Amino acid sequence: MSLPEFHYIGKALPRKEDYRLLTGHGCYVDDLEVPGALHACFVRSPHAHARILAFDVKLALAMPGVVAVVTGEDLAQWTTRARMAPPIEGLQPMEMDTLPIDKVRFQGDPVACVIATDRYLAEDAMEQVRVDYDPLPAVTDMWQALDPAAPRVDETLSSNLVSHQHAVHGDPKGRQRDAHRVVERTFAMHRQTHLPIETRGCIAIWDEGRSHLTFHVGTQVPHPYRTTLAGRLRLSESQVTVISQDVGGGFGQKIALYREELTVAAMARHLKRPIRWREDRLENLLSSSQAREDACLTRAAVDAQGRLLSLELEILEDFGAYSFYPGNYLARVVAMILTGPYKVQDYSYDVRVVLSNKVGNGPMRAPMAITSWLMEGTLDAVARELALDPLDVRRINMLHADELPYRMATGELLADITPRETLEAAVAAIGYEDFRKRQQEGRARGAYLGLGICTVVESTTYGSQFYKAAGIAGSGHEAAWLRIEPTGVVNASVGLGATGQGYETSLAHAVAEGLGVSTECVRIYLGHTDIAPYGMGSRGARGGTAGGGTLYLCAQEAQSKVLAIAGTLLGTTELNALRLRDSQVEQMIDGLWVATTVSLADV
Amino acid sequence: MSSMDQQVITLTVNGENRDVSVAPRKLLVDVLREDCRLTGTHVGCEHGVCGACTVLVDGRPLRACLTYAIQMEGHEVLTIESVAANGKLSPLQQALHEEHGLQCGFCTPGIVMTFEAFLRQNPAPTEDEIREALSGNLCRCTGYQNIVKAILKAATQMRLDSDYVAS
Repeated sequence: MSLPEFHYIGKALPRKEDYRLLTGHGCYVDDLEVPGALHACFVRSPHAHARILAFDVKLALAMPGVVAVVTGEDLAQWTTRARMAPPIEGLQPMEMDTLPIDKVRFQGDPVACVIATDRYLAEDAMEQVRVDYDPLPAVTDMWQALDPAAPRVDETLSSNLVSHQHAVHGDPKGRQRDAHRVVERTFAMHRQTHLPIETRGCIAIWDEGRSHLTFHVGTQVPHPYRTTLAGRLRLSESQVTVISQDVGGGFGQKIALYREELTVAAMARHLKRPIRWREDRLENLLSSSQAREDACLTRAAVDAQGRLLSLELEILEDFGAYSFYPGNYLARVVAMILTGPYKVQDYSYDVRVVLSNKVGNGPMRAPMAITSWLMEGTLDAVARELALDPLDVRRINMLHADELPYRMATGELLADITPRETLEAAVAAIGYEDFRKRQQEGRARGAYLGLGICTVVESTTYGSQFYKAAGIAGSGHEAAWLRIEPTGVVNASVGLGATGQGYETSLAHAVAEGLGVSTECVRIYLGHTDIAPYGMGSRGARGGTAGGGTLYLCAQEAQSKVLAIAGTLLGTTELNALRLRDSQVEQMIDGLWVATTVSLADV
Repeated sequence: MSSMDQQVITLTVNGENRDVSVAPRKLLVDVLREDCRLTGTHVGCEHGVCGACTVLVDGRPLRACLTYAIQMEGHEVLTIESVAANGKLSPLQQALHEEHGLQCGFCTPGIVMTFEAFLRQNPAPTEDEIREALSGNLCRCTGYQNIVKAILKAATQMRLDSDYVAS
């Protein structure tokens, strides 16, 4: 794979976003002033699992400033239920109310919404909402969830096992019989949360005359979010505008449409008044999505040199009480890409995802990160058991450049990757042999030095076929637009959702490179569904590849159009001898690029 | 909120006196953001842990989410909006920009306010002292390394600036 020569990309640039963020002039959701906006506040379950018997909202409704108190029954009239039911083998379809009607499923589950003229008053009234519960036994760990006698988190499902996929490629069991050794290793990771420093929040503004909802929210995925929000409100996508300006971190937590946000939107439409909501930190910890909580096992059959003959993987994941995402979404991708840069064709996986009485899971900070932990942990276990150098175990199993493209056991095709070169470069940079010597010397005097090796081949973005098959909302594609204004400045947009990545700077690079202008004259527009073209947003490290790539291609096309016009102005048909550089059209004359009289503003 | 609960108080914010009518229980951070329309002071945790709402009161850092606005009469409050003079970043802001000491920017105003005060009190801090002082400000994006680098750089720059002024 040869790399194109870049003129703009790769140069360090000061971030365009910084000035406003450093001086307190950023614009996060809660910074927006909306005259007359009411404030929403949620009543939450104190129980992990309980039947809802009755509500008494009379006291709350009589409190100063209170405009409305609504429960799941009310919202069922104004919103549709969430249905998480992509046709995936082994995945039980799930349906969820906007706010729970019959029972709560985790501590922090929102059961009622108070709308008042002021956030302080809304919180006062929230304390006066009486809810009668009948507590139920709770499912608190994934092993308990699997027990047929365990309480059922979702009583419409046949069991708590919401998703189960099993696949066998080749004959992993058979290869174990021929193996020098079968190395088994377990891995367990507790539940975690994203904890963006800006909590969730939103502002819903309903325009009764135009039948249009403007929804301000910090989201990583403005368009798929709009698709879901419009659908749940029984509106068309042209009746909803989602605006996401500065966002104080997402890390995967700000992808799904949350029930609180849907409630605020529905209430704004019902009351015909703007409504805003900002959760506090306790709510963020209780009821924004959490992540991971996996117990895994690998079984590697190896020869005496540590060469993988076969690999078996088992994953058990605690998904929490609700499916904000399809249950298979995260764990199954781990199983799909596990073997990464290592050669092994006899491979099986068994992925079980269970419901429990905890808040629902979502992707977090490289959602498939446990892939490298499992695979590299397995190779380290092999090295340890066979008393081999862990680097040698990697080398003997890792793909060489001449073995690419390589079809993985799971059917994925690896191409245009350089794991071996990367590993060897890292080893050389570290000075591996020297390090091992220093490590030995250190041990002799009681100093313990460590070194770990990790290589991972991770999917960044997927095609629309994958997204559609996975049941992820949205079209699955990425698009970009670019406009050259009369003065030669460039406006461009793509459907990503910025949460601190510095897109306004890095994507300006991509446009500058493709078009042939300096990054200073490029302005990137993001986070507004009426301005940006439909895109899948930012998740799983896809922003640079999908968004940057699309903008780059878009800008290249724009350059060829500019050069066609410039060719006419210059009276030449040899467009290959023209290029745009720093907004000036240049012509190749006698092997040298020479500036012409034509600039971007002239075209 | 009934008008009976409201009190008119005079706040001195960024050198300007402002009369605001607020309930006694209204937090300084909410008054700054809603009544003074200074939204650069952010609310991250509402219980004094994350440091995003840090402002300076009489030159000392203080959590605006743990302070009632009515307590602030007779005190000088400085917010992030006061730091860059005439559009020019302070040496600390400039260093954070150059060293990539911010990403999403939500915690940044609190960090700037904390260290504007810190560097005046301790113009030549060690890295350990910076890390100790920074422990009161949570950042979820950067991993802190570049923030520490930026503060060290700002300290050096500010010493050079003051030497220059002194000479």
